[in-house]
Amino acid sequence: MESNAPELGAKPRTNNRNSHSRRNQSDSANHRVVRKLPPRADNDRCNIYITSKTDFKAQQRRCEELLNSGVKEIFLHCMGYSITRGLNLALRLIKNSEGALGYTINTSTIHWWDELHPLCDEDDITFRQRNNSALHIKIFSNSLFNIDVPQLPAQPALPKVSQREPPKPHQQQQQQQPQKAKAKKQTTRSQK
Amino acid sequence: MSTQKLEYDARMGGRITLPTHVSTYRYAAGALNEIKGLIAEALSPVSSKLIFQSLPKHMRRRAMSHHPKRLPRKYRHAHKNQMSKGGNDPVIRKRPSRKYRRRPDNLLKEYVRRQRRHHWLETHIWHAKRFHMVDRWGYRLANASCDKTYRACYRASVQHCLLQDISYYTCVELQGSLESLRMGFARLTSPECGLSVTARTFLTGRREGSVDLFADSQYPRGALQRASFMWRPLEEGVTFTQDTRTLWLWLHPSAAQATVEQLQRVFLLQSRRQQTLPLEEKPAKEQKEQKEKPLRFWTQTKAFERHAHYSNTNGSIQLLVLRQEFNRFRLTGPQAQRVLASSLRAHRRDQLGVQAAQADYCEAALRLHSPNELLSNLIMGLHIRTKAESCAGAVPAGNLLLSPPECLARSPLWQREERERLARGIMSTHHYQELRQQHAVVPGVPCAFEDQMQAVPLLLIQRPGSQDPEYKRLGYGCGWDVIAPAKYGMALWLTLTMWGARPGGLRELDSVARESGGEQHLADTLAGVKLASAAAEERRARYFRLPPNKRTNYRKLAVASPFSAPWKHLVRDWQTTAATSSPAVGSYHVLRHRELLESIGDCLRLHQPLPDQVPDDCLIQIQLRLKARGHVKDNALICLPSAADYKQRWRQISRNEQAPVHMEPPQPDLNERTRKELRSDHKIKLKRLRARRVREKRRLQETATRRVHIRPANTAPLVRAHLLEMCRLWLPTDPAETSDSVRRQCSREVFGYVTTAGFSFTEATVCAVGYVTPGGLQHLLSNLKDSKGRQLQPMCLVRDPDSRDYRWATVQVNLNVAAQTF
Repeated sequence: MESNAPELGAKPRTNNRNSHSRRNQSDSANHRVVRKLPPRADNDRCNIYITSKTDFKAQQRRCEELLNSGVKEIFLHCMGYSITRGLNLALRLIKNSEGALGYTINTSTIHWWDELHPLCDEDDITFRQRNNSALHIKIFSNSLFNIDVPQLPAQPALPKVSQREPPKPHQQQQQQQPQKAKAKKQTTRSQK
Repeated sequence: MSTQKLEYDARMGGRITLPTHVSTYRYAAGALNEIKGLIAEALSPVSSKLIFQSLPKHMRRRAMSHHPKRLPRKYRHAHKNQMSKGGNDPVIRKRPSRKYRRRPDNLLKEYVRRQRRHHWLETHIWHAKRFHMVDRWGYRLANASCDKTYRACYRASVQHCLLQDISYYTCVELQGSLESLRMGFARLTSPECGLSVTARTFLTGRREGSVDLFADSQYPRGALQRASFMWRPLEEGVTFTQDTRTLWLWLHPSAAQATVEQLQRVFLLQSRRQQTLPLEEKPAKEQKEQKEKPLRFWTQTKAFERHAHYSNTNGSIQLLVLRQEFNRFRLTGPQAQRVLASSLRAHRRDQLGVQAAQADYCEAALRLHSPNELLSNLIMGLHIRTKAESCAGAVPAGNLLLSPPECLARSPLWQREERERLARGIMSTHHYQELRQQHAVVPGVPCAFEDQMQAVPLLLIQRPGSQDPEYKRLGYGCGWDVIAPAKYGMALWLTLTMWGARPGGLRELDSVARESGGEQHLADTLAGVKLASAAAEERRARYFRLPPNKRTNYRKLAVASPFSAPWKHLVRDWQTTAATSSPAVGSYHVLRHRELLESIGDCLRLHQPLPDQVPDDCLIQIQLRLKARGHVKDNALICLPSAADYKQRWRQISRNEQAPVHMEPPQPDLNERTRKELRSDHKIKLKRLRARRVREKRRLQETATRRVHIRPANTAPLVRAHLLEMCRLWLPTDPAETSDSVRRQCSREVFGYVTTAGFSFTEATVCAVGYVTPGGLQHLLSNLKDSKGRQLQPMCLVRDPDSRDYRWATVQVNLNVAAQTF
């Protein structure tokens, strides 16, 4: 039961009624501020973007299921309001794992561009830059089985020289070698 | 020769004595009878002959009885009847074999025949195999997939990519001087609804705008539709204030005709289909004579005009209706980026030209995570290679949002000759496949001949989706619109679906609009009114198809208008006494004034009274969100809660009860007895009539020698009148008849109606979009303090027309009513 307890004390106070009107007043009368979606690093399964709207337990369950399904590391990205929530989530995950998970934290600043939409015909659209702090938490499972053993570079395959064919001229062999090196690199990349 | 010849005349020995004289009156009576008989014969010829036998000789044809088509058309029906009675029916032929029907030539003929009534889009056949098709607005359009894809389409719109064909939008090209266009559109639009057509941010052609169109200087009434528009970007080396500019208006087909008529009226345009031109005479021989001659004119009529063309008298303003000239596909959802990036291969003619700059920018832009991260309503031109495979991308250049290249929106699609050339030079799929079979050794690898194929210009238009995070999740409904030239629709559509876009239909347009908390067609636009009346007809027909014991008794439920929202009467009932004296009773409009809407939203949040400028006869669009369980259907009532309801709410919250907060007490149905009596009377009357006919028949049979048939009943008018009367008795009285019939129809005061409702996946509750009157909203705000002086949240009650339960719903004013395109 404890592992599933809802988040306590980290919920930002959103029922501040005056915040909205104040924000509207701060805009000058000539434009309307339109916010855009923040940029994302990647949109695959392992990158989880924390919002303050999503249910905390749902987020926790999502992360746990991901980690249990054999994913070695997940990234929690959180920004502004939801930083506390992201931290809580990460701590909860690590606490519940009983030492099976480790974490690393990076901070960054996200540069946003807001659009200022004009309200009269004479103006053109303008932009405003805004910064927001962000947190990127990497959670990885530090069990021994998951440690990546760096693979030794494979031996270059010897060129097949059939007995029937006459030995190739020296130039051709030189040309072939870089190609094979490339192929090797590609295979190592795909293994990673 | 002993022939026995009987004599006739008595004088010659016969039996008959001829009279010596004839009385005239007897003769006249006989003649009269004869004439009567002749007339009757002429009116209803009883001929034993068949129709084709009765034709004069010169009109008879061989094998006429077998082929009704050989008969004159007016006899065909009678001929069919005659032949079918005989049992040998030559008319019903066997359907031609499938093999015959599927031959390409016959198939195409069949398609052409079927397109006579409704236009088809280019992707019609693809859709017709997979979708339920409906007739709408002169087109045959895909409504919803035959598979169960409702939820899948929602998921596509929020996480993946939803693809819809909206090529039925009519493009109207307006060409003229900027000043005259500005003056004209000032009469059709209003600055209160947002930016006008000639706003500076749109004039460069960098962004697509949308504007609410009204009938000529009738704002706020006479709403036509919301139209999106784009200006043709200026070519290089032309100053900003060039005289003639070109504008594309994208009109919804439901109101396209009306809008074009309004444009004609505003810009004084005339059709160029038929025009009188001065007669060009040969160079004059004698100057004197020509001066004396009056100018002569001739009328030029174009037999076929591909696009309707209008212009004013001196030709300075031109209007061209480009119907079915473009394909417009709508992609919704963040994955639209990937779908587009992988399906469109940019074509670069040279490394440092317009095309290269556009291609670089496009590729970089499509690599972002969501379309919302780009400039909202951005227009991008792009040349793509048709049917080609992938190639390496370019380096993204700088900040995409701030520094798009100047030439980004340019596209040869604006030029008519270019479009014609594109349509002419298209390579058929068959030919392309043949070439590939010859050239491609490895499947899926680009061939050399593909570089020689013509590049297709496209226009990509960004749609920002939701921009108000307080109203709806930021970026919901964002995506791209792709405009492709005619004839390339199918190829593009197949490519997009191949890369994982989920195709949707008209139903998805509505559901995306509802999920984003708005409506596609507002209640006062032409399309909205038409759709509402069609839906009301449908509901009414369904109601009377049900057996009487399955019909909801709306009189018992105290519902005044069960099938449609009576906006006129709602507005009439909520008008204050001062305003009722004004002549414009029975008109209403949706409030689109952005500042007023914002102040109303502020008032709702801060519990202040509404501003005074809000007109009395307007409707305010709101989004309702149900607080607890319950479901809302279209056309539900929005009611004002009473103080007791607030108390009941607290009680229910403390007891964790889920029951409806209030139940409408059932009203007595005064017509029930009348209906029963009417029904029994009607039955008795029909029986009596039948008994009378039976008696008549028996009486005739006593004296007749032949078999007597019973007289036909001929009671159809009687039955129809009875049905009408019954319908009238079933339905509640028309709200037009009595005053206050809508506002005080039930135990809670009604101040609005729901237009679209359903379960919203974005909000995870039942949501509805409806319209309320400002008077009702004012009432709601003024009664927000309970007996202990506590502030209450502004909420209203919602009730389905066929239910007695009132449920709580929160109210939120939609600020983006005007100029919102989904």
